[in-house]
Amino acid sequence: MLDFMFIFFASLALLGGLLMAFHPNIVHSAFALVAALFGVAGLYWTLGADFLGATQVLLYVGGITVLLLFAVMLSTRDAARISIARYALMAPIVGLLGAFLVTTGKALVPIVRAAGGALGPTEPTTEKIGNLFMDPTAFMLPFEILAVLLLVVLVGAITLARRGEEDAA
Amino acid sequence: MSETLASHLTALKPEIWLTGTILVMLVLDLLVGKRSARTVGVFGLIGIGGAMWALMNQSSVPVRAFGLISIDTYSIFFRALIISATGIVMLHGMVFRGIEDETRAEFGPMLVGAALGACLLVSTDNLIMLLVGMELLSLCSYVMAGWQKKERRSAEAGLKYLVYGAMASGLMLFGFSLLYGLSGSMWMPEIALAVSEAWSLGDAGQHMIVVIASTLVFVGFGFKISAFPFHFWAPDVYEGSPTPVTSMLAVASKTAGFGVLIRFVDTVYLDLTIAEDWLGRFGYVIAVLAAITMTYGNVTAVKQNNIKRLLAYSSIAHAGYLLMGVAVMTTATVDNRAAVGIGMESILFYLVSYYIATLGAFGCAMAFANRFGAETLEDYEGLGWSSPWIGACFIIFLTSLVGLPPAIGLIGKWLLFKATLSVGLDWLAVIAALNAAVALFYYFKIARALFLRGDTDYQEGLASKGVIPGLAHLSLIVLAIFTVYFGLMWDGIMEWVSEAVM
Amino acid sequence: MMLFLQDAADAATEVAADTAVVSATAVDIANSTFAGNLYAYLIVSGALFLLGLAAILTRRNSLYVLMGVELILNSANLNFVAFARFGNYGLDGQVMALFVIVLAAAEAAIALAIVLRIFNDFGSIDITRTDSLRD
Repeated sequence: MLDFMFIFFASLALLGGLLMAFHPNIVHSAFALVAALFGVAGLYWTLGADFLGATQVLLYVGGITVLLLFAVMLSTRDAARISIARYALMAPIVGLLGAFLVTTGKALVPIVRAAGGALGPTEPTTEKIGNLFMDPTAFMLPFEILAVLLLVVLVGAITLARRGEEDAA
Repeated sequence: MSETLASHLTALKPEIWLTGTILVMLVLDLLVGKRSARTVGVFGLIGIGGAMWALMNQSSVPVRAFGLISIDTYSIFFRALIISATGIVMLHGMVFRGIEDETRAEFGPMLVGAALGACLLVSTDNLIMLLVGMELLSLCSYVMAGWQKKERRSAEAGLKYLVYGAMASGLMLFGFSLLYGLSGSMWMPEIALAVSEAWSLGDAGQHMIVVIASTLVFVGFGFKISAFPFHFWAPDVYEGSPTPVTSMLAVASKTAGFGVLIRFVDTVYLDLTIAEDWLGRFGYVIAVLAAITMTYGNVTAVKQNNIKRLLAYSSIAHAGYLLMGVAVMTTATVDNRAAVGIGMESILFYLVSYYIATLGAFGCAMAFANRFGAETLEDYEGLGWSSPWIGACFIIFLTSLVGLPPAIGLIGKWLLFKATLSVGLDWLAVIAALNAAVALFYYFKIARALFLRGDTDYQEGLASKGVIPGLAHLSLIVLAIFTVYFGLMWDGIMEWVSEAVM
Repeated sequence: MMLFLQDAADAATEVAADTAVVSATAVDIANSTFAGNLYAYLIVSGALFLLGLAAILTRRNSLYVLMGVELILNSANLNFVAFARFGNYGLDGQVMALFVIVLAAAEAAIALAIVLRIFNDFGSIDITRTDSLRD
């Protein structure tokens, strides 16, 4: 069951990512991104991160991509010109970094495994995360700062996007 | 519970002042913002003054708040620079003509929000808080960079800054995730333990983790301080943003970037006896980056015509000088640990001198843009005679930036050079000295345009009367006086700096 | 947006309660080849990271770059959660991922606002040619 979930969501994430990165039409890319993000949400569920997965679906898949789609549809409609030169530049960088990441991953896995020991059953995390956010010795401060951030940023975003009174007339 | 909460909050009084200022400004904006943006701004200035006052009253005994923030002399030093710079930028933002009166009232909360983020960024040693603080600073900066209506360059600057900034923080986050995997903690001292263990006991694969993670994390910090090769956003964004925002980016944002970079380097790499070969190589990479950054900034600045762009490249060059100090810290060998302190002191001192002169130089650029709409070197011709006070201040700031007597910049450069020589990085000191000569050339171009070129007749500009514009001009003169005064008596600053390092 | 986030948080709690059925028992984990294997997750997150990087490097359109960044953020988040689970590091990793999601939302809101600004002020909609700032 878990394996099936993993394979399903991982391939959703990877196929979505592939399509997003290489599809010439940006609107299709944006929809592929939705699939990829949903796949990642599924992977969170297989890792026992239930609240995080749900947040990912609601905020990332439902919110952020909609904002991005709005922006995409307002801006470009033509297919992006893809230049061979950029691919030639990209391939070695990505390849090299990929090789580095493989080495890194190989070295990291034993360290993490040694720290974790045998995997226990997963437990609901929602309440625990909520307690962490309200605990002054845990993450209360960043949580509150995030509230300030959202307030300020939204006022700023609205001011940026708002038409002036003389334009609206 | 409530008692502990209260004790946590008392440690964060300046931040509470800033948050309160944001809220008061937003409410006032609803009440009177359309009619009187200046009222909102004045309250903002009062709030920032309050934050500054609360900061100065903080004791130098280290305190921890919320388990995430450490309030020590180091963080007080950086927050003092950030908050006071914000106050001056706020004053300039109230008079800058590029910002419409219609949106001027909303500009203040963005500025204070950025300052709040920067303050948290330099005080924290936890990766989660670090990310939130850095994003608060960045997101407010993105908004402010695109603030100017009907100005294509400003909107483009906002978009470019956002896209590149998101990229840099994404890479940094991936680096954090590797560090988290390695150490199982978001807390820098624990990460330091894991990093040193992986380096001294691990095989090539574990070394790779440390190298990749450190590189990715450095992308994020390097972007904030606009070090080569992550500098490419700076000229475009500095030129396109409204001028007060540019000075905020050049001063407060860069100061915060160095604050967090030094804390990270000091905690994660230097607090422990990491195998010396690692430290040595890491330090030499930083030294090479410093050399490239300053050379690139200075050489490119020579051919610039737009003043803000020129100052942007000069600010990249100064990031290179400051990185010299980081190179000193990281190349200090085990038997020369004192060099770490010397390097840090020289960075902090140079930051003070950079802060005064850059804030002043961008302030002068704003004053000229306000009065004459001047942006390029041609526009500047002869303007020194039309507003001699601002012109003279500009010359003083440039003197400090280039490092000539009697300005404070000279002392800053001297300390940096001394520190560089103390760890045997002679070649870096030579490159820096050559760079200073190049810098002299392009700074002189501004001075020549102001006073030696064009007609020396008085040109009628848009005069701005009133208390606030007067205060804005006064702030420039005060900064100029500081530049010279501290250039002659730097003991006070030196004392403050060495206290912050301890 | 604040309301939206609050609603989202409420809804997330509900959905989380529903998805608690997928939370695994120890037996499930012992029987799984992939889902109990850190390598599998690291491969997915590494691939997402590289795909995001490829998108950033090959496209000029700013919005494409932003989408690539979203992939990178997700790969980092997946790393955090996977490390926290397999290393038994506690909930810090998930908390970090939650913060990243909210920060990404704020960032996307600003991106949309700036695009709208360009659209309103200039009527021009092609933001791929942002060339008025040049040396």
